[in-house]
Order: sequence, then C-alpha cells, then structure tokens
Amino acid sequence: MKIGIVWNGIIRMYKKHKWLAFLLIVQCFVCTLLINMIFGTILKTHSSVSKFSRFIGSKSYYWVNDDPDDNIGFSRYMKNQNGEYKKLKDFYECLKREQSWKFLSVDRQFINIHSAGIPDKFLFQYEQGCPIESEDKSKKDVKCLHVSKNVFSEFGVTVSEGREFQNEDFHYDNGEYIPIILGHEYKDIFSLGQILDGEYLSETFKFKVIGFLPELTEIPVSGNTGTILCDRYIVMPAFSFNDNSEISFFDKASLDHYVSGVIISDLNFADVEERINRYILETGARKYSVNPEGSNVIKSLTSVSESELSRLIYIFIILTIFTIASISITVNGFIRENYYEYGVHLLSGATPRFLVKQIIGFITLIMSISFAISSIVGMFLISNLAPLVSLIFSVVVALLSSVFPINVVKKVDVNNLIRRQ
Amino acid sequence: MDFLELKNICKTFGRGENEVKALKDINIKIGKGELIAITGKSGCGKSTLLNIIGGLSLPSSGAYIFEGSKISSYNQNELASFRNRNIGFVVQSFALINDMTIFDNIALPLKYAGKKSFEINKRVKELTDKMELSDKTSFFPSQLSGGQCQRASIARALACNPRVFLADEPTGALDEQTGKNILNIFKSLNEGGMTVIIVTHDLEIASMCNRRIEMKDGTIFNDYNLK
Repeated sequence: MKIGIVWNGIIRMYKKHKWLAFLLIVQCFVCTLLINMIFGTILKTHSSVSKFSRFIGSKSYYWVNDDPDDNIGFSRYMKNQNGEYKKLKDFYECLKREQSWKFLSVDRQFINIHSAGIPDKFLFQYEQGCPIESEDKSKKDVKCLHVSKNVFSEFGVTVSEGREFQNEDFHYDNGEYIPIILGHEYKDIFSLGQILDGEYLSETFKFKVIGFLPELTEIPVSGNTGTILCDRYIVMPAFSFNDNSEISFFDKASLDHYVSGVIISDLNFADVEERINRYILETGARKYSVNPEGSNVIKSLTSVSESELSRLIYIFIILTIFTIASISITVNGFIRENYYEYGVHLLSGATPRFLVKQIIGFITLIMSISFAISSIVGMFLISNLAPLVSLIFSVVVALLSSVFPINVVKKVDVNNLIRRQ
Repeated sequence: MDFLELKNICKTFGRGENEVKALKDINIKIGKGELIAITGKSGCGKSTLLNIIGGLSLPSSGAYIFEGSKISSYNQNELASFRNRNIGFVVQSFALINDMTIFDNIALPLKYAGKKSFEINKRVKELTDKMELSDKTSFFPSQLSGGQCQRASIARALACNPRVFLADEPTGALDEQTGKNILNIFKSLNEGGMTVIIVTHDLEIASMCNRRIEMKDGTIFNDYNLK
C-alpha cells in the first residue's frame, strides 16, 4: 500500500507538471544522446589509433608528392620530352623495390560516373564546399581513391560485402572491367556486381562493383596529415598499363598519380629524403618531395585524438553539470510549489522518507524515460554500446541530481508547510 | 500517571539577533477526556504549543511525555508514526489536497497506517456517514462549502481513531452557524471520551470547554477549570 502511495505521488507530480517534466525528459534525452555521441567519437578515435598501432607499430610515416609548382617539369613530363615517362617509371620502381621501407600508392582522384542518381555528397570536393559538377547532368565527378596492392593489408582494410582486390585486379587489359570497392554510403545506390560506365583520367572504362567497405573505414592518403573517411569514396586499384602500346595520356597521368603515396619505414626523415633524392638523381626523374608532416602516424593520430578528447571531456563535464543542475533546480521548484501538500501528507502520518522516495522516484522516472529513448535512438544511430553508456549516465545524473532536493525535503517543517497555504 | 505532560518546554525560532522565544518554560498536565481551549492573542505561542503536542514540531528544550513515552526525543520517522496513531489534526485552512477527492483525502492517514483497501473503504464510509458527506466522496474540495470541507478535514483527522484531537482555529474560516455545528462535533467527540484541545482567540468557543489555558508572551498566564 505504501509503495502505491509513493507511486501515486510520483504520477500526480508528473501530471501536475507534465510540460516541465516533458521538457526535462527531452533535455535529459538530448544530453544522453550527446554523451553517447561523445563516447562514440572517443571510441572511434581510440579504435583508429589502436588499428594503426596494430598495423604500423612504431614505424614512421612519410608522404611522397610531386612539386605542385613545378609546372614546367610537369609539362615536360606530359609531353614525354627526353624520355621523362620512362624516368618517372624507373623512379616509381625504385620506390617500390626499396627494402628499407614500404611504398604504398594511395591518392585521391575523381571518376566521372555516368549515373544521374548519385547524390551531391559523393561529388569530388563536396566536403570542401566546392563540388565539381559536370556540365552533363547525367554524369557525376565522384570521389575516388586509387590504392596499390598492399594498402588493404598494411592498414587492415577489409570489406563488409563482396571481396577485396586480388593480384589480377592490378593489371588492366582493354575491354576488361575495372573492379571497384565502394564506400559504405554507396550501399543504397549501387549493388554488388553492378557495371558502371565512367571516365577516369579522360579514359572511358567500365567499372564493376566487387565489394563494399565497412562503415567508418579510414585510409591515410598522400598529402593529407591524417586519414580520410572512405564512406563516400570509390576505391579502385592502382592498376598497371600495357608497356608495349604507345604511351598514352592515361599512362602518363596515372603514373604521375601512382608515384604519390605513403612511405612507412623505420628510417628517419633525413635518411628517407636522402634516398629519395638519390633515386631522383639516378633515374633523372622530375622533382618529387617527401614530407615529414605527420611523420609518425600514431603520434599524429594520438595528438589529434588527445586534443579532441580533452575538448570532448570538457563538453561532457559541462553537459553533465547542466543536466544535474536543471533537474535539481526544477525538482526543487516542484517541492517548493508542493510545500502545502507535503505538509498535509506529513500531517496524515507520512514520514520525510516518503517524500524523499517520491522525489527519487520522480527523478528516476524522468531518467528512465530518457534512458529508454536514448538507448533505442543511440543503438540505431551511434553504437551498440549506447544502452550501457545511457544507463551509466542516467544513474549518475539521477543520483547526483537527487542530492539537493532530498536535502530540501529533509529540512521541511510541517508546521511551516501547513501555514504556507 | 497523566495522559499528557509538558515539562519546562521552550521553543526558540531563529538564531542570534533574529532569535524569537515562542514558548518559555511551559508546564502542563492534561488528563484523558479533557476538553481544553488554549487562548491568547496572536503571536502568544498557542499554535506553537499545539504543534508540539501534536508532534508536528519538537521543543527546543524540555520534555514532552505522552502516556509515559518521551515524545520530545523522537526522530522524524517516530514522530510521523506517533501522529498517525495518536493525533487527529484540524486546521483553519482545512488542509485538504485540492486535486484529490474527498474520499482520497479522508483515506490518506489510513493508507499511511498500512490499512488494506476494504478496511479503508469501510472506515471512510463510516466517517462520511457520520459527517454527512456520503454523497460528496467523489467531489473535490473546491466543489464543497467551507463547512463541508471542515467536516471532511475532521473525518480525515478521525480516520485512525486518534487519542487526542487538536484543532487550530477550526472555525476561523467559517460562518457563525457552521462554526457552531463544527464545535458540536468536537463536543460529541469529547463526550465519547476523546481528549480535545482547541486553539482559539474566540472566548465564546473557549467558554464551551471544560478547561481554559490562557497564554501570554509564550508563557501560561492562566490555567483554570470552567466547569
């Protein structure tokens, strides 16, 4: 019977202040969801760091790029004056053959896909706010990454559906399909085995979807100090070309891109730079530079995550304090508004403990509803751990936000309560 | 042994410069079945005294003994139980919860006493019949007259068969005739053997009682039997 009185009291309190209670639930729900998002980000950063730690260990990480200001050198290369193409190809082979490092060809490009149904978010440079749009609306210049054979194994990239690239995928013969693996967000647009027409480096190809990447797959890319999220990218092999045929524009353009990539090595920057310069001298290739930025990927990722983490922890603390303060102040307001009623209850034989139970029950009800909603929403939108994170957050907030109102209730004076009417 | 005894009771509110001595060295002995009026001007300490007798507040010093038990050393939970089992309280403002029906208001002490539903229904019916409120049980206090509200308040006070019935200015919010009717209820309760203590500043009401305790500035100025 006494539990019934407490429960009835909670329900009456809720009904009496239903709009405020509703707003409290919404606020707690939003805070719990934000906490889940923060936790999800921390978890994601942590998994990125641990993943790269696993695959790269303590090795250093360098970017190889051509000099973007060397227009003369690039023009001479594209015209293949003085055998520039062969020189670069030799340099590329040196990069791949070097025993003291691993060279991974990985760079961003775009593919012109003949499909009008691709949303803008897949367009090249969409995230920079200046997406490249084709004049022909039935064609879309979408983001793409070309990768050498070892990129998947070095960075632990897998597929969620279909298959990974195999050795034969890195050699192209006329009339074949170019196998492509699509980022997670492409799942709603294209299907496994689908053939797409498109152009890559001004050459027309047929592309075949052979797999999809798992959500949140990240790959370090040349020229980028961190990694790129591949959810909106098409990943294609850095395939080789027919040596016997005449050197085409495609051959030259693709080689130029393939030389841009990542070196993973135990060597320090000075040694890597010295060897790169030596290979350039030996092959006579045009100027390529190696960049020390983010020379240790773990350090780079960790420092990013540490600054992000401290920011997120501040937001987390502020949000938690804000939620606890809101509940405490609002419930305290309810108590003051209900002083007279509490007086009547105490007059009728209620103990102060009954009022404490009612306050705890009311806060628990608010937090339970927000916990249930945020768990379900969080599980769908953020991570499977959302119910656990929401539960811990809800319990902590419920406990801490009860302290102040309970103290107020414990100090109530029945005599004063009745006289307040 | 006296039924109820107050020994050297003092009650102080506030601290330092704001300290107010509401009761100063009060000594009273009350026997079973007495009908007592506590009178005096506003602020003389009569309601404070009634609250201590009713277990609504504790004295700052002194001892309050009820049937041999020292109530003044009780904690809040023990006081709540003491109130529920022994004290019926009626106040000028009726102390009814506005969004509860008359039935639920009267049933409240019975619920806190842990009574079962059928016992509650039976007891509330007895009380509403006695107070002529049988047809008003599903009404809310705002739908009743002042007299009906006070009768509902009396019904609730009587719900757990209290040993002492305390009334703080019970007719203050009522017209003369309704007030007389309420006082007749108190008299009949007293005739049934219940100890009734009424706080009032109305001398006509006081004259209806058997004993009058007159207070002045937190002390007992006069204590005399009227009949």
